[in-house]
Amino acid sequence: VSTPVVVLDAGVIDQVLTNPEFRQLLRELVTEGWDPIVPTVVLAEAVTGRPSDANVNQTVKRLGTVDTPPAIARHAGQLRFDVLRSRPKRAPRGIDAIVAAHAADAASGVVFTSDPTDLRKLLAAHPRISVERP
Amino acid sequence: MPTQKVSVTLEAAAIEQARRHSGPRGLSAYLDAALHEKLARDERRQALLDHLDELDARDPVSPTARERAARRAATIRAGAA
Repeated sequence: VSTPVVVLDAGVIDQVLTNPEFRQLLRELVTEGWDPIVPTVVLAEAVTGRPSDANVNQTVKRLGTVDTPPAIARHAGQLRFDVLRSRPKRAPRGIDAIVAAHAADAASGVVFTSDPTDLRKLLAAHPRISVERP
Repeated sequence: MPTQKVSVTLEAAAIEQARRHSGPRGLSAYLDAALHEKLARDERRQALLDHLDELDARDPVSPTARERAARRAATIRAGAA
């Protein structure tokens, strides 16, 4: 049985510092053994190289990031293609697909994101993974 | 990396399954990789909890927000079951 994951997408990492209720929600899940992960690829959207990155950097420095092995990257491609086959108005981004694939690899858990629409489409076939705003 | 021979008791069915998946590198390498993954998960979890403790000490969560978070966590857990 895989450990459920708590996947943090780019737009929510800074909220670990700024949102006490979100912190409490993370604590509730992680204390029960859920595995918190920041896929390394989300740094491409979370970081600007400016001083305003300080909040993101602080959490990433403590938690670290999880690299994407080829099997998960390939699964991301499949998840993205499944959505594209339904001819959506907007194609899901590759980074969202990788975030979704990290969650799908664990089979159960939650993805926290500031923009749930595409991630919900990508994870439509994975009912044990919820996609939530912080 | 130095290795050490240990004697442990594991579930027989899981060991058989691990043997089938372990491939040419063998059962020891397979279990070693699984142990490293588990250690990494535990370290990540503890690192986040320590970080949350430090942040909460400076900016504590209100009782109302704590209750809301507990309710949301229960819903999320139910969805993952």
